[in-house]
Amino acid sequence: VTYVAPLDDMRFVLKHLAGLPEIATFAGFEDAEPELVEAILTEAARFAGEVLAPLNGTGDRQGCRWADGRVATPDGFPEAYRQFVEAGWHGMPASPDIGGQGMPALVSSAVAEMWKSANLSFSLCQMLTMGAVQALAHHASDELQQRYLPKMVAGEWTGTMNLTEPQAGSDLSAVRTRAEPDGDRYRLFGSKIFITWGEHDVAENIIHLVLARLPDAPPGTRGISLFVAPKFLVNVDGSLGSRNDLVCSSIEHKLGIHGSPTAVMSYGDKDGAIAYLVGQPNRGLEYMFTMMNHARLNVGLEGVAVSEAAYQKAVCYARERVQGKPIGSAQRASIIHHPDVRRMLMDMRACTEAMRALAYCTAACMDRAQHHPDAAERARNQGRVELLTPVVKGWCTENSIMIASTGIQVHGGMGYVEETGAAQYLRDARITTIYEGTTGIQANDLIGRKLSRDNGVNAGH
Amino acid sequence: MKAELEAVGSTNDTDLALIRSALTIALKAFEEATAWMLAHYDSNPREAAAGAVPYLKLTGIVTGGWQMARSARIARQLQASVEENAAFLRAKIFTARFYAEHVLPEVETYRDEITMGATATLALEEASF
Repeated sequence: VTYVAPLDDMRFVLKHLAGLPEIATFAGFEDAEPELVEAILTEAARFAGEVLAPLNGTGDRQGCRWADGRVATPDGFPEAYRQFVEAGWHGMPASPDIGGQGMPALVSSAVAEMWKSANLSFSLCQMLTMGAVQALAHHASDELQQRYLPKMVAGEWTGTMNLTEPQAGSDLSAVRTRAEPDGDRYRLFGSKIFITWGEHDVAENIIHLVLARLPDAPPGTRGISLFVAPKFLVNVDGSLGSRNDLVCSSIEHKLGIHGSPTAVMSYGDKDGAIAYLVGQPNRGLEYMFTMMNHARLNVGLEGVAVSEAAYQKAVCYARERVQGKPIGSAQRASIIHHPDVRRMLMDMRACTEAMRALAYCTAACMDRAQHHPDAAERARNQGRVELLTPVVKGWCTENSIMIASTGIQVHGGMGYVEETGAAQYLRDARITTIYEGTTGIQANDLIGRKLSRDNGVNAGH
Repeated sequence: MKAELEAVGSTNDTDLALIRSALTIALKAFEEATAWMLAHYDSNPREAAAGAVPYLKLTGIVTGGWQMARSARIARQLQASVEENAAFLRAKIFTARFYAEHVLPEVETYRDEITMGATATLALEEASF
């Protein structure tokens, strides 16, 4: 067994720390009764352990392969994705009005932790799609929503976020991709990089959300609009039409998350990629920011998840590996009996449990901020969310690098070679402090917009 | 977090007393670092930004410690019930104590880094790198 979801600790945090029993009483969360939540947790644990975890190491070794604009994901990924969709896991986090299950973010967070622990690369596809779903559900016209949302929520089509360009990384004001009006739609010209799951073979269509500039747009951040551009155009009856003028021109060779294709996307090599404006012109960045807390919490959960997986692997190895006589003992024993190995395992465990508690409690604050019947409580919890989100994102991911590294140390030389799989966690964790805003960006957000703006009120100062 | 300090404070419980003591010290360091940030963010933003990541980590450790203290207190209460998983609760309390004794003390280092370390961070001329 490669990964066993830590259900006892998850249940403890959900019930006793994050307050799921109270959250389940809020209007909209009627379905989150204890029996159903328990069934979701145990079934997700089974799926994560039996279907996703076995593909983690093989996906890392094989990686994704690009040829002529097409990307093949690692062996087993398309089939696992089909099962993931069929079992209904894909749309679970979405709200019921667009085809989801209406579970609190708190419950979805525990489930997401399992996908991320079992197979971080695989989990990114759903995470990006649900981000695109949120953006469309909040900001797109009814027509666009009807065209794209049902199939995206169900997982028949996947979604991406096209923000970064070579000259526009942390500073999106430098975005250059152009959108030229063409009747009631637009044509996109430009190049986007670092597009997670930007091209793949697990679903029949890919719906790209793209930041671009209109011809008359003001410079800087106030001149960026959000567009939706499908890989295959969608006919009026919902069937797939012709191939759009957008192509994956290559994929990146990366330190980790080898099973997740990171695409370079080229828009408008011919007559322009057909795209539709989402919401109002020049408000694209603002729309992105409305989803930021959720996206950052999700990446913080990746830190929790990789740490948990690295801890489990280290404990497993420490129990099996017989080496030397522990101080004060006459017998040779497995290394878990050596005090320094105990110290390392306790350090990994204690930090991971603290991170899980903080991340889940922040998800619970999001649920209260949205659904608590009392307006003052909603506002108080939103303040908490604003303060804690950059902390969860930055702290949990920075810790995950240290924890995965300690996991290698427990393995000794066997951790430094790739066969044991301990090294993969360190390589996979390494991206989490970078994407969705580096640790430096999170920290500036914390001391600037969050702490100084409210003069420390939410920090309990 | 201060409310938790009161709640976790039991006089004859060694584990909870140790956790309370470590959290008290850590909270003080958090307050000192926060006060410094609020005092310097407007007047000296470069020095404040130089300590931003240490401040984020300090905040993570303290808020994580707050949750671990809650965990230990609740686990202790649940130990009275026979239906609960005794091994899980014992492990939770000692894991929280480990966190209090091994992780929480790091916040004092981060506080010093934030409140005293910015000058050297920013001192070198670009050509000296």
